[in-house]
Amino acid sequence: MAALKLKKSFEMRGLGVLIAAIVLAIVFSIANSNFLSPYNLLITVRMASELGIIAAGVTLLMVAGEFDLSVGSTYALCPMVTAILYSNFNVPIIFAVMVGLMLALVLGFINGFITTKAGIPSFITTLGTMLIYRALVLVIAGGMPIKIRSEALISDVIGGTIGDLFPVAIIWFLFFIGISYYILEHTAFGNKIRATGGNKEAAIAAGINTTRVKIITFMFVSFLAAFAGYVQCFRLGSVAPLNGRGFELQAIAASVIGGTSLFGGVGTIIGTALGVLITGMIKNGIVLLGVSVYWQNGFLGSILIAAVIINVFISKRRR
Amino acid sequence: MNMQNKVSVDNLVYMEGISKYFGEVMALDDVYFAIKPCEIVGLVGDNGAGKSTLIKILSGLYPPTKGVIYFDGKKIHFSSPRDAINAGIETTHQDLALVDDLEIHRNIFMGREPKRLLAGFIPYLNKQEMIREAEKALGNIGIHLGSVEDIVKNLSGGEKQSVSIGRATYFKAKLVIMDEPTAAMSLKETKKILELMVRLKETGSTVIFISHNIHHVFSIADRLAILSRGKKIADLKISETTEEEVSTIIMNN
Repeated sequence: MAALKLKKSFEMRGLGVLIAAIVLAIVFSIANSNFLSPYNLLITVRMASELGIIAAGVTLLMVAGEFDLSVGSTYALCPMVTAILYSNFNVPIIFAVMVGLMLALVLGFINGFITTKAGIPSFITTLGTMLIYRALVLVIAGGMPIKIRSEALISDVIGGTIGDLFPVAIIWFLFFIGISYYILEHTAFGNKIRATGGNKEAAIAAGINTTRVKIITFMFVSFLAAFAGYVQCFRLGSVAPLNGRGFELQAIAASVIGGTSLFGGVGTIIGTALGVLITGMIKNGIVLLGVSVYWQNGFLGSILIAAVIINVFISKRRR
Repeated sequence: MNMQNKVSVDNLVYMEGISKYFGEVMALDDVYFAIKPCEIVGLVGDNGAGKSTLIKILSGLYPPTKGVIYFDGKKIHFSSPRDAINAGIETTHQDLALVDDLEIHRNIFMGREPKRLLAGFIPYLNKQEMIREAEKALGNIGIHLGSVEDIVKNLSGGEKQSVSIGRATYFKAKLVIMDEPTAAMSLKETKKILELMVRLKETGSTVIFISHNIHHVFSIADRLAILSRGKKIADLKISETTEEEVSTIIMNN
């Protein structure tokens, strides 16, 4: 009986965000019949893709009990390094991208290493590195956007379109959502992530190296943030030094709307994917509704608060 | 105190001159503690006597400030619980046992999750095996919970302890340490756990049983050690002492 009730409330928790997504879609499609047109849906998902790639990693990290506020800066820094190597130093694009992705792993390692070894909250560590990584972007770019137009295959593979219409970004979004889902639900490492964030002391007593788990997860998040940055820069053909500002909080918001706990141990990738789609629909729907875009974050904020209230309500009833 | 034999083939565990300080606070003072294979040793004493600290050292959670540990004939140095688990020491801790938001089977196998390969190379969590073996682990101790796929948060205190004990006893460890395993349990559950410890001994494991309940210790242990304010003040064979004597020793310190 208790087990049945429990299962139900779990489904409800996932169901809440699904219902929210459907309700939003209905409201927007009533307000503007173009909302559900295939082309508009494609744009909505494409707009959500870059954030979605980051949010998948952010969810894993939050389940492990940590935050990463530096993702927005990493999103700009790694493509910027690539753009400079490619444009100013004639490094072949494929190597320039590989250097950038390796840099991402280093940036993530720094976040994880400082957080675990110094024992300070990752909120602080990554608030600091957010500012530092952003400063590096501005310094190396001299504050200016840098072009990265390349005819190389890699630019189409990461940020192009299939045919004239279908953005590859959507495939990468689904791919990284899939990878993150697989890691969290179907690997031993995923179980260690959940144990580490759920009860660190118990995880350590069970022989889990929680420091290692956290550092690897920090590196994974940074990698995804950089990759999302490449998706954008190859789509636009340039990198601007202020790219990705605000992504750190939007990624956390999408994750939390999808049911991820701020206290670690709880969260699902499917929920986050839906949370990301909701943020995408808000951005797109507001434009279609003819509402000023200045309202965009206001709507997002309201939905975030409502989602958390509902989650708290559900978990209270569960006891 | 120092009259005990040095590490010998007789002892599974030999803790020699163990001291532990937390800053200025002394938790253990020059403790010698030997355990023979296949015996049940009770570890008793008042709150704050140092029982939990002693077993946290033995299970790799704390390094001792001073002292040496021999296990299974070898001098060992545990730098983490992982080392102790690999050496064959399983522990049910009183305070840091389980992850509330994790399902029962995921708790039992946390840290050593069974894997299989998908398409020959993709590592994949073997959930079927985890669920089946978790049921077996709980069945072994005579406890049946609704479903091992429920999260631990919704279990009663006694049920949580059962899961913790199920985990500690599943892996056929050489040494099983139980820190107050029956504190939250009903009489019926307690009886099952006491019987379980006897069965562990019969199947070749050694058990350290920490309890406030001297009567429980007397009902199954071969020997008991009494700690008081960080010192070991007595080490007695159960057959050569009485509950009254032990109570008196604890009270008078």
